[in-house]
Amino acid sequence: MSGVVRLLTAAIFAVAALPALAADEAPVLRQRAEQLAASDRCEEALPRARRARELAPNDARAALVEGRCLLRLGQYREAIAPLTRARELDASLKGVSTDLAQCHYHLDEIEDASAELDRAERENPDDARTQLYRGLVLSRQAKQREAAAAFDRAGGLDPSYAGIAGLYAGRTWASVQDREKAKQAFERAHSADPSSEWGRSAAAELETLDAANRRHVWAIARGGVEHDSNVTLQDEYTFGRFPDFRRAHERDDTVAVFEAEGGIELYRDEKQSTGAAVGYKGNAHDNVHELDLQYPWATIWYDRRLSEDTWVRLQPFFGYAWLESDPFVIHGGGTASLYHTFSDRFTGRLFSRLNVNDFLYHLHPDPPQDQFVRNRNRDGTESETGVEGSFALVPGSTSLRAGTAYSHYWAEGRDWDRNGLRTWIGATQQLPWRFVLDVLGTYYYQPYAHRSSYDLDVARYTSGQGPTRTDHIWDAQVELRYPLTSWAEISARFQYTSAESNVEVFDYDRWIAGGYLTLSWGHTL
Amino acid sequence: MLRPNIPFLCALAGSLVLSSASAAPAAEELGRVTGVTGEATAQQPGAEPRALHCGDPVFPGDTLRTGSDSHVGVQLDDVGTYLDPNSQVLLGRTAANTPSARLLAGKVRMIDPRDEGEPAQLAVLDADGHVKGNDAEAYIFKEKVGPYAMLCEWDEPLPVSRGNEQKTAKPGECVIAKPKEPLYTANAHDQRIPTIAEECAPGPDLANLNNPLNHLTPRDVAAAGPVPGSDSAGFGPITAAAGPDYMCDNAGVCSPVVPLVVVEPPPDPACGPGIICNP
Repeated sequence: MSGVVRLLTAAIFAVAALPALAADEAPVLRQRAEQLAASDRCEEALPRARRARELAPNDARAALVEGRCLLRLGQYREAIAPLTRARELDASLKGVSTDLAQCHYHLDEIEDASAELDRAERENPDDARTQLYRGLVLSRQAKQREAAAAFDRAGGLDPSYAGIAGLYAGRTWASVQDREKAKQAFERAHSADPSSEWGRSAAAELETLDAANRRHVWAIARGGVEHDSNVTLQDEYTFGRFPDFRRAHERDDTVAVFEAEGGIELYRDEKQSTGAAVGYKGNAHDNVHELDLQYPWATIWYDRRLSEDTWVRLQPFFGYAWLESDPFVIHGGGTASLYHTFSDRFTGRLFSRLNVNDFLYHLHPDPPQDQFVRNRNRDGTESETGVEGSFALVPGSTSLRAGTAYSHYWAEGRDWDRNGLRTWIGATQQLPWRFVLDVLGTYYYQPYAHRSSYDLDVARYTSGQGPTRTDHIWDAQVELRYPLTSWAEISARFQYTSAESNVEVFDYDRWIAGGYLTLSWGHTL
Repeated sequence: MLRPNIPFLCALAGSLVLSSASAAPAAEELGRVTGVTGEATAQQPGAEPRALHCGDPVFPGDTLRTGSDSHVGVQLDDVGTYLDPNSQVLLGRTAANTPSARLLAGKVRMIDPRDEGEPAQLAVLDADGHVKGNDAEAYIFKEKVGPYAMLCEWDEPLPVSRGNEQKTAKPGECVIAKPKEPLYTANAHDQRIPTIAEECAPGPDLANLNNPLNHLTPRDVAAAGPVPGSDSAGFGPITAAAGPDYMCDNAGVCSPVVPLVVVEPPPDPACGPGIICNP
């Protein structure tokens, strides 16, 4: 009997020991994992941390060391779950929010990184690592001044960050043209550790810090193919008495489009910039060659900074166009613009433009009356004045733009005298894998001043009963862009236009779908 | 009287030889303090005792001591070692370079979560426990005839040797090593030596594991420089102020303002409303 009792007792002890053993073994595994991790031996630490978590799923420190090791090994996505679990189990663990911010930042999840940094700053506003990543996140959100200040804070909080924080701060201050602060930051980075990659980069960039005030030259070339549903801008209508109009109809066509431009800055300092650019745009229709466009243009500009956030641009321009090989129009004018930066997120522009057109084609009267020729002379001057703004809804990711402009056209022929209102709204969205989506919608309202001689009922027009032309034009564009490199981009575009006019010949709709390749080049002189 | 003491003295001498080989504390770290309550010390032969604090390193040759109301835990490689109050343990390494803990007084617990590798050593008097995957304890008890050792096990079978003798403690058993008596087993008690309730917080090295320098390069913030295209010229991007888009508004090539009529062959020499006739 005593032997049985002894066996039972032993069995009870053995069974009772097992769960306790697991509980006691887990801290040993985790302590060892922590020691290995602290020695930067995360490959060895990880299996121990994972075993510890299997034995003690509620051990926050085991989850923490697993998460930190995964982070250390660059497995950012995998690190998020254990780090999050560690924080759930023990909210007092230090630095976990910054760990998570690091993960999200390196996964390009900038908003998530920002949210974790918010939390980290509430826990410890004076943590250098938190401030360094705050700077990186702000930089990605296009908040360069705030980013530079965060980098400066990081370097001040921990001298071991002086190199990296100084280099980043210097570059960021340079990007907002604050050369004095940039210089100080680069000097800090260089003096902290001259032989490190940070110090060497800072020294190199100190030497080229004045590049922002050096002149730039650039060139852009773009080509593509479009399908245009209505190159003639006509609708299907019939005319009773004009044989030519009877043959007028909507035509679709495939069009090769190409353009190029080049420019050079002739002078630049902190207060002003001036330069010149020339360009060319053309197209070639597969069928309707009469509409093949050749359009060279030229412009010069003068920019003057009025304050840190405000500057003006004066920009005269000139252009000449041929259709097929026949002169079509010569025009010239100028634009005056006032730009203002209201905040890191919001910039605005007020502009006014004057343009004089001289159309080079001849109108032959049909019906053969001089008043048609006179009234249809489109030569004239247009003015347009408007405002537009751009707002970074999600900095670095989503931006909105909108504007409105009032215009007036003084034509030599009364048919073309008109007022105009143009309103537009657009958005640009960064997509995964570096794609960029751009959408733009525009509405034109153009009430003309006089009855239109293009009225199909000429008798009605000549008797003074015809309609006064009013156009409502709706236009929508969607473009998807993908940068192949920093200098090459491919894009696809779809555009739909619906023109509603009470004068039938101006009433039509049209869509265009195309694909393009754009090459860009820039150089600092 | 001499028989049980000879192996013990040999083992003690062996441990001292092992420890003296690395008497300089800085030479080779054996482990770190993972928990301490009350006053505990570590002492190299011939040196002053060092008060132990969280995260302190311990070295081969160190003798750890706890007071009447203190505990200390050290992590020796993969093995957790925990001293009860009023205990002394001499630390070292075995010939296979695994941790060794020789109990000199009191009680000690050794938890080894490994499944592979050479065993660690848990020694007491002249008895050696070969620890691998074990949760073992060692005790020194005193009787009138002299001290004796007890090694208990809670997880895996624990082989215990003394000279030529060998006995294995099954989980829930202890091997008793009394002088003048062969090794024998007995049922274990139900109270184990506690691990440290208050563990040391992770050290700063773990917090610094993800130093940004390990993740970032100078390229993570772009250097200022010319950008392809016109963005670097002027104070804002240069665009053709009356570029092709504007031309379209006026020329009618790509806007609705002038409807062009295309007359396909044969061209009609007559021009009419809305028909462009070239000069």
